Amino acid sequence: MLPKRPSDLGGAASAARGRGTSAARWYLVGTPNVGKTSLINAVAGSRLEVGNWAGTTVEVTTATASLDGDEIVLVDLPGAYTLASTSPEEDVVLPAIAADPHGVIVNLVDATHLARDLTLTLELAELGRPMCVALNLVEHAMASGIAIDDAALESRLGVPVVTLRDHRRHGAGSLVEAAREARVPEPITIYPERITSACIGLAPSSLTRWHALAALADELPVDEPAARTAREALIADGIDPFLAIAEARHVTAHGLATVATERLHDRADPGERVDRWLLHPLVGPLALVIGLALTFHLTFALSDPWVGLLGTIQAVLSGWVAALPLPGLVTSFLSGALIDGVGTVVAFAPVLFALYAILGFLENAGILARVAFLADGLMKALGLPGRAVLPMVLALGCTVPAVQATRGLEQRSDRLRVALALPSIPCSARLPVLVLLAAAFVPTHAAWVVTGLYLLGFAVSLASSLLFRRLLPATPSTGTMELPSYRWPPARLVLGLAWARTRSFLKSAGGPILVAMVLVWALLNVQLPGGTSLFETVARFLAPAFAPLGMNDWRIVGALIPGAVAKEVVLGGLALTLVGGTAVEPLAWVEGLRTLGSGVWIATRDTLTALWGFGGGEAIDTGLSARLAGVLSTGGALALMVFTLLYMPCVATLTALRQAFGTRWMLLSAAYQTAVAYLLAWGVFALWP
Amino acid sequence: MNPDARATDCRCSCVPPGTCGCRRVCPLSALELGCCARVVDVRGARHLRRRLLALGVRPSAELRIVGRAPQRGPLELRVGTVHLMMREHEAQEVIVEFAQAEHAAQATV
Repeated sequence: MLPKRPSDLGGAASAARGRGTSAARWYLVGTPNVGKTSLINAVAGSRLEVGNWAGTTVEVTTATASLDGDEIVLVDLPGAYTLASTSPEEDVVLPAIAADPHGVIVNLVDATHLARDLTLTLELAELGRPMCVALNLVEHAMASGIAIDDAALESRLGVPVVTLRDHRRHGAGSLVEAAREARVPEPITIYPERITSACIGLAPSSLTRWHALAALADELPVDEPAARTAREALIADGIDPFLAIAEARHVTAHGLATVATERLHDRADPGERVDRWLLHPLVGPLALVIGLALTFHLTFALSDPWVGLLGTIQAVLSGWVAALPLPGLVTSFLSGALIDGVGTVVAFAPVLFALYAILGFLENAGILARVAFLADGLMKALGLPGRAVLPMVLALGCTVPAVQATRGLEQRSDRLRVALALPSIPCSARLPVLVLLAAAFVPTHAAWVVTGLYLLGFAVSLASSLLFRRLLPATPSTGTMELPSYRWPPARLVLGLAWARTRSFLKSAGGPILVAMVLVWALLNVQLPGGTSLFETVARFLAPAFAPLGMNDWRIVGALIPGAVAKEVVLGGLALTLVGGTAVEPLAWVEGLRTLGSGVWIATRDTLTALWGFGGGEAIDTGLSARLAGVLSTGGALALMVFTLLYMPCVATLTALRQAFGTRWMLLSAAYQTAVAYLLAWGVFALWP
Repeated sequence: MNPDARATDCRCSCVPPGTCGCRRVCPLSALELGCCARVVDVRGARHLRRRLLALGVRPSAELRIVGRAPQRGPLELRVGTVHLMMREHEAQEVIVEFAQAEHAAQATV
C-alpha cells in the first residue's frame, strides 16, 4: 500500500495542519463501534470537524483540543478490523498513518472483544511507530463479568496501556500521559519459523515488518515478484501464508487476552434478549416499519416549525429592506437574491440537522446494523444490499443526508449506484409541487395520483440502481457484518456530530446555492432591449423542446429553471410567471420584531405539540390553480408532475454527490435524471388519452 | 432447514443424523438454528476470507447460530464474543464440524 502524500489527507485533517501549528497529532485507530468518535467528542467538546477523506466516500472526523496545555489534533480514523483492506474505510487507515511520520497511534481496544481487537493491536505493533493502547468500554465488560488487568497487558505489549473510565466526566488525563509516553513496541507475535525466515528475505524491500508479512500473504495491492516466489515456496510445502499469519496473530492475541482477563461471573449480554425480539422474523420487520415511519414523522414534525420560522425571518428582513430608502433594483437584489438565497441555504439546516441526528443515533446505537439484517432478504431480491434501505428512506426526507448515508454500504461501487438511484425518490421538497398540481388537475383522484408518482419514483430508483449495477465495475462485497452491542449514545455525541455534518454541508453547498439564486435573480431582472426579460427569452427558447411533453407554454418551462436551486421553488416559479410577482410590503422595525417574536413562539409551540400529535398539513392557497388550468392540459400537467419528480437533482444534492464521488458523477447524475424525466414525461403525455 | 437437507449436506449419511457419533462436517449454511459448531475451514474468495478471519470466523473458532432474517435473509451468529450477520451463500464457504451431543444440547435451549 503506497503512502499518500500529506496533501492527500482529508479536507478537515489538512485544514488543521494548515494552521501552521506543530501540534501533536494522534491517530485514533480501532475496530468499528469501539467508541472513537465518542472519545474525540468527549475530549474536544463540540469542536468536531467532519469531512470526506480526499477522493473517497470515507468520512473522517477531526478535532483540535488543548490537553494539559498542549494543542493536540485528534484524527478519528474510520473503524477497521485489519490493516489490510476489506472496505474503503480500511483503505484509508494505513496510508493516513504512513503519511505522517510524527503522528502517534492511539489504539482504542474494545474491552468486550479483547481478543479480536488485540489482533489489530498486534498488526499496528508491526508498523514500527510510537503507539499506546487505550481500553474502552470497560464498564460494559465489567457488566458482563470480565475484569481486565491493564498492567499485565502493558508489560507484555511493551507500550503504555490505559483504561478509559468514564472519560466524559474525568477528561482524558491518563490518555494524554499514555500518548506522551508512546513507544515503538517490539514485535510480539510469534510466527512459524518458515514465515519468519521468508520475511527476513523480504525485509529490505519492505517498509515495515507488517508490509513484509502482508506482501507474503498477498495482501498488498501490488504483488512483488520476490514475495510471490517466497509465497509459492511456502504453499508448495503446505503452508498458506495468509492463514498462517492470521492464525499466529490470533493465537498471540488470544494468549494476551487470556492472561489479562479475569472472568468474575457469567452473564449473558442483555442486548441478546433485545435481539431475540427485534430480530424476530415477524416482530422484527413490523418494528422496522413502525420505527422508520416514526423516525420519518418526527424528522418533519420537529424541523417543519423551524423552517417556517426561517420563512418568517426572511419575510421580515425583506420587509425591512423594502422600507429602506434604496433604488428599486437594489432592494430587489437584497431581498430577491441575497435574503432569499441565504434563506434557502439556511432552510436546509433544520431538516438536515434532524436527519443527521437520527442517522447518528442509529449508527452509534448499533441499530443500523439490525436494520440491514432485517432488510437484507428483501433488498437482495431487488439487487441491493440490506444497508441501502436507510439511504432510501432518508431520501424521502432529503436526498442530501441520504447521499451521506450511502457510506453505510460496504463498497464504493455499491455506494455510487445507490447514490445515483437516490434522486428519483421523491424528497419532501417535491411533495408540495406534486400535491398542488394534482389538486388542480385531477381533484377527484389527487391522492391516488400523488401515491402513483411516489411509486413511480421508487420504481425508477430501483431500475436505476439495477442499470448502474450493470454499468459500473462491481467490487466484490460481503454480506458479513458485525452486529454491534446496543449502546445508548450520549446526546452530546449525536447532536455534536449532527451539527458538524450540517455545518460541513452548509459550508460547501452554501456557495453554489447562493450563486444559483443570484443567477436566477439576474435571469428574472435583466431586461433585454425590446422589453422582455432575459428569463422570458430563455424560457421561450427552451419551450419548443418541451412541446412533445404537452408543456408548450414558456411560463411552465420557465418555472422549472429556478427549481434547480431547490425543488419546492418550482411552485414559487409558477406563481411568479403565472400570477406575477407580489411586491414586498415595507415593514416598520417594531412591527417586524413583533412578527419575529410570535414566529419563535409558534415554532416552539409546534415543535412541542408535534411530539405527541400529527399536525394537519397547511392548505396551499393562491389563485395559481385556476391560472394553471388555462395553460396546461391534464396530460400536460401529469407530464409536468413526472418531470418535476425526476428532473435534475437540486443544487444541494449535486453538491453532496460531488463531495462524495467527484464532479464527473455529479454531472452524470444531472444528465441522467433529466433524460429519464424527459423520456417518462413524454411517455405519460403520449399515453394520456 | 429440513433434516434431510442436512443429512445430505453432511459427509456422514447415518439416519437419523448423528446417531453414529462420528465427526460431522458440513457447511455452516446447513446448520440448524441453535446449533453450536467449530470452524474447520474458511473457503471462498480472498476478500471474503479476509473479512471472515478479521471478524473471528477462523479455523478452530466456535460459533453458534442464533437466528435467521426473514425472506431467506442472512444468518445471525455468535463467534466467541462477536455477534455477526452472514449471508447464506457466504455461510456455504465456512466448513464446520460439530459433536452431536453438543448439538442436541444446544438445540433444546
